[in-house]
Amino acid sequence: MPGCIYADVEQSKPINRIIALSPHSVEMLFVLGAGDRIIATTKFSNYPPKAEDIPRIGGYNGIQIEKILALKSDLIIAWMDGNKIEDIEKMEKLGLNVYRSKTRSLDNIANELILFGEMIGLEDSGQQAANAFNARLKKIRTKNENKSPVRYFYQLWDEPLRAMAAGSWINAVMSACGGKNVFNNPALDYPEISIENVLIAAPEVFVIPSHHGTYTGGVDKWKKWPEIPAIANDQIYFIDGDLLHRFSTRILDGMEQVCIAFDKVRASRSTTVTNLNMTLNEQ
Amino acid sequence: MTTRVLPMLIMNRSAEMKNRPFKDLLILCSAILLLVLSPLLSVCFGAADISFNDVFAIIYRLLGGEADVSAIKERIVLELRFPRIILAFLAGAGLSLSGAVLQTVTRNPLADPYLFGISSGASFGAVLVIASVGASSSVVSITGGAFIGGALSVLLVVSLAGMGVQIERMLLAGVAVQFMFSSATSLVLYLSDPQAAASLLFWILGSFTRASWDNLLLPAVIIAFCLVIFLAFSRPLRAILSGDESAKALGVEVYRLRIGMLLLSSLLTATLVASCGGIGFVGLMVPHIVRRILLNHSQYVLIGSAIFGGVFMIWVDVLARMLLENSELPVGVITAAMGSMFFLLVLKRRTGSA
Repeated sequence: MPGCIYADVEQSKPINRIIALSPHSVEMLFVLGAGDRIIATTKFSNYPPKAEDIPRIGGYNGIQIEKILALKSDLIIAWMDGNKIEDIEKMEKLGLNVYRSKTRSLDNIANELILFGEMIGLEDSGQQAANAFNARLKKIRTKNENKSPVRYFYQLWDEPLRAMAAGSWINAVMSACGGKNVFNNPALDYPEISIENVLIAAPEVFVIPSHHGTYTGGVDKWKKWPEIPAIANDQIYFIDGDLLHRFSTRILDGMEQVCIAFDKVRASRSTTVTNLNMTLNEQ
Repeated sequence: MTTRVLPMLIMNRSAEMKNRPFKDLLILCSAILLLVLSPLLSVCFGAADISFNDVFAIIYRLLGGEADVSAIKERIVLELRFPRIILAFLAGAGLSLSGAVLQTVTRNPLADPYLFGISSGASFGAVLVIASVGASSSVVSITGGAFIGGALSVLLVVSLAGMGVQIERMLLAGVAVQFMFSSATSLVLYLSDPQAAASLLFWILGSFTRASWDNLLLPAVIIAFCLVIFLAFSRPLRAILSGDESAKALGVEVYRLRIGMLLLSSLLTATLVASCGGIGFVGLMVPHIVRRILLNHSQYVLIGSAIFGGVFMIWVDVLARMLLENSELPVGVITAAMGSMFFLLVLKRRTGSA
């Protein structure tokens, strides 16, 4: 199945000059040991630290296609959910060798590791990385599959208040740790919500991504709502958003941190948990 | 051209107006009734299931009576819903008031709080603060940013319009300033990362979710202050409607009055943009509807605009929190959608009956 996606790639020619248009593809190429073949990337590709030295040719709001042409690359790894579709189509029309990376599920990360390996002539590294990833993912899933569900609220943004709902792909990371999203609204993946919505949902834990590892605010306003079990039991966890929001192998680091947090939540349950819904229904 | 429409409209109706004060008073009384009932009814709508009886019990207990209602419901009503309803009312009232005054001093039926770039300036200031300081930036600094942006746009408009302050020049300067700040806001959005950009967009479209008792005082005081001054100047304001020259003949200092009213309107708008983001169309629409009902009785138009605007916004916010389950809709989207439909309807009926 993976082979059919990159029909245009010329197998004969060695791939030495790669343009990776997403942070996750940069990380994955480094995992495969091909980090030094990346000749250009986009704004937020900051991992591993060596990636900071790669020249930038755009961000999520657009790519400098003229520069891409001038760079004479062998392969461009575009990102379906992060690059502008017009840019991707334009590069394809110009006859450039473009692979469209899709980031929709956890299992696809291993598939892409294999695919990247095949495309750049590092089949063995790709297969090994994929096997390692799958083994680790399976281990985390097995370890957590029989644990009791943890009702979590993922505070994507503080002002205005936004949640990550069950339809979003980040949800898969949480589910693997036995997390149950309190916002399972099918209409929107990242709904804007009010404090009242959170009060009613009564999550046991807050998971807050720290954007680019710097942001740790947005908690103070919750302090006065001890009716929320997560606040009453002080179950608020900050996790590096770069780990959780990127489809590379490091997502498992984020997942492990989430699982540890959820274990702490389970341990804290011995103390009395006030359930708001119960309180409301009693009336 | 357009500047002539409004005074003519008033002239034609002034004869009819004379025998209408009683009816106007009646309308005003029903508006006040609406004003009392709307908060009490709208407080029952929201994510949590709270009945009218609960609300009644909570208020009864607040007044010192004995009533059986859960503590959490009481906190939701008193700490989340009432501040929110009040903020919605203040926003609607303030923007409509600002629109009514601006339409009068410019004699332009299309004038609204957005016309002089006030809201785009204020939005830009707030967005810049959010984008540079981050999402955790305190409300105070966002308010500060919005104020500075709003004030800057007024300064620009006034200086561009020149000392004579001709209405046409001022309107054109306003349009230019509005575009300038909008482009600057777009630039900030473009440069910030996707997360921040999406949140900034929600903020620009307006929301009352941030309401709390602490941040109600400032808008309330400023709106009350402006309302009092607007009412005190309602006579010279009416004189301006009949043209600068006639107003001057009546002893009105047109230039100073216009600048003063403009500054007050921008103060109002900047305060509101700072506390609930940009909410369009209310300031344009409500004064027109009120004028249609109240026939330009100037004091009543001001008070009526404030009341109807506020009540309208309370119900718009009910829609904002009820239309989608478990999430909020940006208020600005609803006001623009509802407002334009209603406006078209009123216009159609008006042309139909003429």
